[in-house]
Amino acid sequence: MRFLAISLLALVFVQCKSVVPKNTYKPLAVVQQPTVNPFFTDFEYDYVYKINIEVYGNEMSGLLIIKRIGEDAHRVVCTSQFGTTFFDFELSPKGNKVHTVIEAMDKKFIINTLLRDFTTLIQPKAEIKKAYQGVTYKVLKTAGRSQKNFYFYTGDSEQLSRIIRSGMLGKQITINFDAVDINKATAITINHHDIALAMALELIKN
Amino acid sequence: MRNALTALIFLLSVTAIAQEKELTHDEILNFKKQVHQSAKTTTSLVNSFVQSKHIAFLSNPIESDGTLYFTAPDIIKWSYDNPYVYSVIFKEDTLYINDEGKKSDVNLSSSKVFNKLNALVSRSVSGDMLNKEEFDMKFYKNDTAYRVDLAPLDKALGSLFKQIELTFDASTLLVSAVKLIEPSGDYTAITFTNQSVNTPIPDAVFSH
Repeated sequence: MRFLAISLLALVFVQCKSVVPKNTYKPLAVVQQPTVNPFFTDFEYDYVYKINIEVYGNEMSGLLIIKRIGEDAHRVVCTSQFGTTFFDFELSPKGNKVHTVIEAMDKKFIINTLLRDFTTLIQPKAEIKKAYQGVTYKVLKTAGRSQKNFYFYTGDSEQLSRIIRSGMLGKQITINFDAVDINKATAITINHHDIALAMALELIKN
Repeated sequence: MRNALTALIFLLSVTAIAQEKELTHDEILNFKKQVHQSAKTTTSLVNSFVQSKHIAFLSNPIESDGTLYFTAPDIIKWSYDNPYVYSVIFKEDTLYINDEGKKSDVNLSSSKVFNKLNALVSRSVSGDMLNKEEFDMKFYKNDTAYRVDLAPLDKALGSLFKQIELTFDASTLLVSAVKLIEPSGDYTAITFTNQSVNTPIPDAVFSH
C-alpha cells in the first residue's frame, strides 16, 4: 500500500513536470485571449471528419460531424459511413446533452470519456491562469482544480498545434493538430495516456 | 393579376399530377406479386448510388457516392468512391471492411441488429421484403413510381430507424431510392442510377 502511494506520488510528480519543464519554459505575463482554439468557431461551416477509433485493440471508423450551434455550444455527431448514428452530443459549459447513443456505447464511462475529449478538442474559450515561452512553443495553461489544459502555439502567427489535458494523476490526453488549412484543422490525433484509446480525424471537404 | 391566377392554376394542377395516392387493397396485392416475381428473377444487381445524410442542424447534407453490388440471395457490397474509399461486404454472417486498404472483418452472428440490418439492406435492394411481417407498411403511387413506407415493429431495428421508405420505378419495379429515417427525424437518402440487372459480377468483387 505504501509502495503504491509512493508510486502514485512519483507518477504525479514526473508527469506534471513533463508538460512544461521549468528549464525549457520561461513564465510570461498572463493575457486573457478571446479564443484559445480557433478551429471550430465558424458558425457557417459543417466540420465533417473521417474518424478512426482504436480502443483496447479494437478498431472502428465512421464520420465525425462538428457544428458550432451557439456562442459556447457545439453539436458533435458520430455516424457510420452508411449514415446510421452512433452518438449525438451537445456540448456547452452550461451542461452537456446526450441526444442519441447506440446501446453498445451507452455506458457512463464511455459517454463521459467522449464528452470530456470532445470538449477539450472544441472549446473555443478558456480562462488562462499561466503562460510560458519555450524554444518552439508558447504555452497557455488554463485554470482548474482537478483538470488543466495546456494550449501549445507555434510560429509567428501563433498557430495552435497541440492541446494537453492533465488531471490529478498527470497527463490524460494529447491532441495534435497535425495539419492546418486556414483556421481549419485538417488532420487531428487524440491519444489517451491513461487508457488504450486513440482517435485519428481527417477533414472531408464537404 | 390574370397571369398570377393562371400561374396559380398551373401550379395547383402540377401539384395534383405529382401527388401520391394510397394504393387500394387489390392494388397492394397486385404490386406485391409483381415485385416478388421481379425479385425472384433477379440474380444480381449493379447500381451506382448517391448517398445523402441529412442532419437538421447542418447547413448542407453530407454526400457520398459509389457502386452497390448484389448477388441473390444475400451477398451485398457497398463500395464508396467519394469522398473516401471504403467498402463493406455482407456475406454469410460476416461484415468484411476495407477502409482505404486497411482490411478487417466483424462476425455478425451474435449481433441481432446487424443481422436484421443486413437482411433489410439485401431485401431493400431486391425489393423482396414486402411479404415480411416485421414492418407496418403503407403503399403509395404516383405517375412514375411506387413508394412503400415501412415502420419496423422490431424494437432493435426501431431504435435505429423510425421509418424506411422504398421507392420503386413503376416501369422496372426496381428499387430506385431508399430513405432511412432515424427516430430523431434525421435521415439518409440513397438514390440508385445506372441499374444493371442479372449481369454477371466477377467473383473478385466479393473477395476480401
